Amino acid sequence: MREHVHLTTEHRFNPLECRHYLNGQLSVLHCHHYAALYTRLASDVGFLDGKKLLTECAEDSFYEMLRSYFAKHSGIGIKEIFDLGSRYYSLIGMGNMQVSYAGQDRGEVVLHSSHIDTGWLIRMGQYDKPVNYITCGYIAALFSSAYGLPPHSFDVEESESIVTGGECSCFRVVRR
Amino acid sequence: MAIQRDQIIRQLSGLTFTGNDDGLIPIFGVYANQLPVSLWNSFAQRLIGKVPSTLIEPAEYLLINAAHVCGYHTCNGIICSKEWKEIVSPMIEKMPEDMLYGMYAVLTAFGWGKSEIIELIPGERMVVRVYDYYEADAVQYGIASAPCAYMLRGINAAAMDLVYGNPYPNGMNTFECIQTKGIECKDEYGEFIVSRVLKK
Repeated sequence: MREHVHLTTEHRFNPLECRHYLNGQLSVLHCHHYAALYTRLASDVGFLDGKKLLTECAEDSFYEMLRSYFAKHSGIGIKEIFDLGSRYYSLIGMGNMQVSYAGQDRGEVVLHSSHIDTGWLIRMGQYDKPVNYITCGYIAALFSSAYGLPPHSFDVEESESIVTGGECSCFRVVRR
Repeated sequence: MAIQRDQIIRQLSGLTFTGNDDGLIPIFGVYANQLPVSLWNSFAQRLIGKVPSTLIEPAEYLLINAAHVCGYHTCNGIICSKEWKEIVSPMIEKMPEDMLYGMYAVLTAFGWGKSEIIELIPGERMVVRVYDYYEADAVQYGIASAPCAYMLRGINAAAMDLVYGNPYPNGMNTFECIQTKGIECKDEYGEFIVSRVLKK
């Protein structure tokens, strides 16, 4: 097993359509205001379970992104996959993620800094509940793609949160 | 020198961003992210698809508002940024109109849509055409019953707010934007008309 796999980044801008491709995935630059307000919107539409909706949308998008990225690194082990997944999270500007442990049935993840929480704190200030639904989706996608499972194979719960005053955000992962 | 749109797009689109030690991307006075387009599109589409028909308009307003707020602060961050001062400022001849033209070149470089101002009545009205915008990807077959470029509607209003509204940060909601054409409706481009909010 390789000790360390380099996080390759291929950024391409198609000048004809003016679109960005990050490692082959169509991506776009947005800011913390947009992410925080989408998160707030998801939080506000309780009658639609907006939190779940945003988490699932994030999971579907990130699953595709991570699966295609890991497919380019055939032969790497679980440790490298989680290592790459954490560094990919930083690459896209989402924060500093550490997978504390992971298995096929459960795991735990810590965020030492977070784009969503930072944006929320700037816009809305502290809150009484965790709000990082997008990262819940990312973590679920990371676990599912790491173990070769279909999306929505894991539930992710944010148990501690920077927006509620915690020093970091913690996520509990469990197999459905 | 007037605004050299192609030059701005070429210079800014070539910048590659990665997270710093905290995994954050502090640029243009904001924290940026570079997420898959599918995330933004799918949330907007599923949200509108799930609300009762009586709540579609309020839900659309919330999506537009998110972009309006984002656009207002981000555009201000852009015009205060080092990149703007280095690349765009030297091209500005006529204020504040050239600021708007420069801003649209920057937004095009961000990947929000290949946008151009086709009509501008300073302080009153602007018509923008946008080609290849990512929100139109939500419709892959057939013709949408209504345009759905919520992000662009918010951004266009925000740009006029910033340039012709009260000085930042007090100029928001001076303008509003409607979408009159859309690629998702099988038009060749998206068309957006920005005008002053009518006082009631």
